[in-house]
Amino acid sequence: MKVAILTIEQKDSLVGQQFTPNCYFNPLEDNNSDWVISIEEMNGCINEEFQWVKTLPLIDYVPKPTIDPLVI
Amino acid sequence: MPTTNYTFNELYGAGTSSIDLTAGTPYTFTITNNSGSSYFVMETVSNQNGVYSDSSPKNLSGSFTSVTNIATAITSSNYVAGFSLPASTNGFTFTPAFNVTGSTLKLRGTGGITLEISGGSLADTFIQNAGITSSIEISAVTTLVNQLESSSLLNEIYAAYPFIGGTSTSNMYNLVNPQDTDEAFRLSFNGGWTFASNGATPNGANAYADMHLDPSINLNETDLATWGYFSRTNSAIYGEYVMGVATGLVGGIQLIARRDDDLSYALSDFSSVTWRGAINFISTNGSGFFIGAQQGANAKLFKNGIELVSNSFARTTQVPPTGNVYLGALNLNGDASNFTDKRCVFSFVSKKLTDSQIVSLNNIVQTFQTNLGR
Repeated sequence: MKVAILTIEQKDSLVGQQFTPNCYFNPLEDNNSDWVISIEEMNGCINEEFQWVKTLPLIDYVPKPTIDPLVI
Repeated sequence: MPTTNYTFNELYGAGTSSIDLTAGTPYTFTITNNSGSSYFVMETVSNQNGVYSDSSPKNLSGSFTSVTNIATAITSSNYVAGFSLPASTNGFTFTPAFNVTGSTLKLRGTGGITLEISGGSLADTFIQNAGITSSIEISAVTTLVNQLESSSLLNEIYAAYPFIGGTSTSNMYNLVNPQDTDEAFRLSFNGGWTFASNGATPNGANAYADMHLDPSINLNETDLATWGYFSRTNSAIYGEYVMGVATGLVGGIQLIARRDDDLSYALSDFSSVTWRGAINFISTNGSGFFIGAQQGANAKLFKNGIELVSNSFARTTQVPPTGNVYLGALNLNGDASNFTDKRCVFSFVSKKLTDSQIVSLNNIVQTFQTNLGR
C-alpha cells in the first residue's frame, strides 16, 4: 500500500481538519517514525486550503506492529 | 418522531429554509420566546420580480390547528403566515395541503426566538437530511424504516447506519435520529474511507468513524445492548476489529468479524456491576451480518441471524471503560487502532434484543441489501 509522507509541520497542520465534508484527516505515524496519510485522503481532498497534499511524495506503508488487546 | 431545531441566529434577518413538508402530514411548530413580544413568519420565496404569481408554490395552503399561546390570530395566505408571539412557549400544528420544498419556504423570526419542528416520517427526514436522490435508495430506506417500525424494533435502536447515498455526508446520518449533531450519534469519519453505492469501505490503515456513543454513558445495565456490523468483505487481518471501544483490558462493546486466525468475537463490558460477555467462534468467512448481543447472563454472537455461540462470563464490580465506539477500528485507550478493511453496508447499536428480534432485524436488513442490489 502506498501512502503520502508528511513533515511534522505538515502533520500538525492537518490534525482536526476536514479534507472533504465530514471527513477528517488522520495522520498516522508508521514504523519508521514517518507521519503519513492515505491515498484516499490525498486524492479525496477538496478543501482548497490543503490541495498541497496532492503533491506529497508517496512511500510504501510500513505499519507499526498491531497490539492485540483481545482477552478471551 | 423526527425533529429539526432552529436557533435564533438562523431565524433572524433573512431567515433560513424550512424542511420539506409532506402534504397531509401534521407538523408541530414549537416556538420558544424568552424575550418580550416577538414575531415569527413562514414566507414563500417570491419570484424574480419580488411578487407571487400563479406559478408560486402555495406553501401555506393547509390548516393551522392546536394553537397554543399565540397572542393574536394567525395571519395567513397561501404564501405567507405570520404570528405575533407573547413571551412564552408557543405552538401550532400545520398540515400542508401540498408538498412543500423546503428551499421555497423561509422561516424568519425576531426577538431571539428558537423553533422546533416535529413530525413527518422518519424515512422522509432521513432522506432529506442525507440528500438521498436515487429512487431505488429512497424506496429501499423507506421500506427499511417501515419494516423496523412494524416489527417494533425502531424504538429499540440507538443508532443505525444504512450507508447509502455514496458520499460521506449521506453516510454519516443516524437513521433513527438523522440530525447533524454528536448527540444524535451522527458519524464523524476519519482517515481513508471510500464511499460508494455499495457501502462504506475503510482502508484498513487509518480509517475509522466515531459514533459519539459512549457505552458507559449511553448504555445501561437494564437495557443492556445489541450491536452489529454487516461486512461484505471476506478478509482476514491480524488483530482487526470492525467496531468497538476498550480501555486497557476492559472493553465497552467490541465486535470482530474474522481475523487471520479465523476468529469471530463479541464482547460487552459496560456495566459497573457484574456483566461481561466475552465469546468467540471460529469463522472462515468474514462476509456477513455479525451481531453481538448482551441479553443478561448470556452474551451471544450471531451471523446472518444464526446463533454461532453463547457464553456466560461474569466479573465482579469494576469501573467500566469510557470512550466512544468506533466503526472500522477499535477505540483503544482513546486512539484508533486495529483497523479493518471490511466494507460496511449496515451497522447499529440497540438495546437488548431477544433471539427472535435479532432474526427479524437480520431479515429486514438482508431485504434492505437485496432491494439495493448489493
